[in-house]
Amino acid sequence: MDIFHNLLLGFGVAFSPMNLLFCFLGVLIGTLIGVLPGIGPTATISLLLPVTFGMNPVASIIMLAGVYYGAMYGGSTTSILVNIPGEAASVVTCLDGYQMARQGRAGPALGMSAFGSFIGGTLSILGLMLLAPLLARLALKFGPPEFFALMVLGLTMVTYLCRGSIIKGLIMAVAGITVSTIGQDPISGTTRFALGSITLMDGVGIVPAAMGLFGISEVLTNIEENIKQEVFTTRIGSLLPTLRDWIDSKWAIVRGSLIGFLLGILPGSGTVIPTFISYAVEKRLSRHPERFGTGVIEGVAAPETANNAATGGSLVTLLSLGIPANVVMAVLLGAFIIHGIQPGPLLIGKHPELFWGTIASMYIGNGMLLVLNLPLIGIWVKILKIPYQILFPLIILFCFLGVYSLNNNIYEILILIIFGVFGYFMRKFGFEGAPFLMALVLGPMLETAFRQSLLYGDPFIFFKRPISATILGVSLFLFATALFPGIAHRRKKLEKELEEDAL
Amino acid sequence: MRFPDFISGIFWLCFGLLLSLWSTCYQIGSIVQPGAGFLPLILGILMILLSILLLVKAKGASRATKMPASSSLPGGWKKVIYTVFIMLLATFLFEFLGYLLTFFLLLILLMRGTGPQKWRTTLLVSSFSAFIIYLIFVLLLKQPLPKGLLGI
Repeated sequence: MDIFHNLLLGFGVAFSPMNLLFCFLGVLIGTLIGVLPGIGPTATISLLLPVTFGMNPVASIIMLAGVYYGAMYGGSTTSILVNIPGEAASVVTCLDGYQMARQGRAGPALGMSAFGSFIGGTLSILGLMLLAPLLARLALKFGPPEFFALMVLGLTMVTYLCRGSIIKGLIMAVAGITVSTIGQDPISGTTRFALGSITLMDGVGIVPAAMGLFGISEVLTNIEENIKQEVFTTRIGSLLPTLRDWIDSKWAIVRGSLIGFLLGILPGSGTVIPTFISYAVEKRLSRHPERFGTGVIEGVAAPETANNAATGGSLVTLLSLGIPANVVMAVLLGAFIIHGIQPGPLLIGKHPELFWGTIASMYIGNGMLLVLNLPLIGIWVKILKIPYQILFPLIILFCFLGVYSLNNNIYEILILIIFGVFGYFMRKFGFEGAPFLMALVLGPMLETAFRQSLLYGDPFIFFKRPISATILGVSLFLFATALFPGIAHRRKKLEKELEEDAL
Repeated sequence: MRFPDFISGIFWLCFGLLLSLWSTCYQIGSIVQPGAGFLPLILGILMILLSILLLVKAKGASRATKMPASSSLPGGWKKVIYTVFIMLLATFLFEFLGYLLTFFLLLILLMRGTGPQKWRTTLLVSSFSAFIIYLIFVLLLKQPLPKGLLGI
């Protein structure tokens, strides 16, 4: 009964007019940036951080969470209509979604992705609500070695799951932790690597780094490649899927929700990988796998359900352990800290209104998205027709504004540009930004936990405590599979199979 | 040999060496009493090892496995340099010119400089955006943006 009592409290908070308004704003902005290619939830949440300074913490977290799951809805629109994924999490939706649009079935594809997102999103909130308090209670027993091990696992997963070479992923993670050591040492207070700059003494901010790596570098890459957007011009027609569509997709939605939620919890997996896996699973289980890629509705329902379900899953570790499961959660962690709230095992007990209010707002937000998205698709299509040449200066402008208003410091804009250029080159050379940013955010926590653990007086402490030993064992196993040639070969083969399955 | 990986390998190797040397400027401490330079030193050594691995792999890779062809346009890099230059210019002029003028010019220069765009559209979008920023960030959210020359 405790849960119902708490949920009631949550809905009381979420239904206050102010929080409703911010929830609405969050999901609206989320859908908009989900539609627009080239600006994603990471950059947007960073951009909105300074705006939330004056707001109360509950309203800000409700809004920022709304941006995150709203973006998952918006991303599908561009995938289906233009064959350009608005978000990385909607790449798979292009395969069957765009084919459906070409066959004149854009309406049901858009409709099914909205309904699938709603169902996946709602089921994952249910999971979050049940699992997070349990995990938080368990985590109260954790000491620095366990937290260190968890963070190592998170970083391992990010590098393990990123595309391409695992060595490059590891290099990015090490570089990220290195950049996080700039500024004051968390234990002794010594200033490191600051080159005498006052700005750097406080360390490199997450916001300029995130917006540079994900916003500016994306813009630089896009203008070099000159992306062309051709919006599908045929009529969208009725958005409601037929009964046949529902029968075809019902299991895809159930499985997509489960896969999305469970993978979302895993540190490092984000919202992209669940979409690939759920698509591959549907294709494997289907009686007509050869039709995947030609415009089958299950191919839209599965990934769209999975990416929304993953948003709920990824909130589990942030809210119960204080460890972000992916880059967006890392920026959200920044938002918590700015408002003086430390996410972790004590969060639910200390700030019940925040935890349950956010959960309740997510139920409401998912409902809003469903209502909002179906009639507004026409407007999103119009926005898509804005040429990139007009769009990209605006994205740069908003990055400038977001970074400057954080601390009113122009040197942070300089940091933004440096990270933008760094990110651009990293993309050129086949490195990914996600492990870097995750490491940058986790760096100070990781270092503190690491050094506190060593203060126990035993360098092997990490392997002497059962929980940390198990978690580190999993990380080591993952590394071993990636680094040793025989196993690495099998991993490559598996990856190839998975990709072939998805395509 | 895979050339791009070779270049990035060299870059990260230098980075690792520099980091390891630099971290010795701070107190390293011991394994049970780690100081401020302890983690950076470990990271530096890790980076050296990883970059050597990358270099070895790059050397061993056959030409057949080279990077996927870039989809960038011929001369596209000029646009990238131009954009970075304009961003830097805007940063340094930001406090002197003020947010309104800087943003207005930033938008015009970026829109006109990276491809054919009608003057009318450029001016319309730039002035409208500057006005919206004034409305939302200055009037509504009361963000202290630098006023500069214009004084608003």
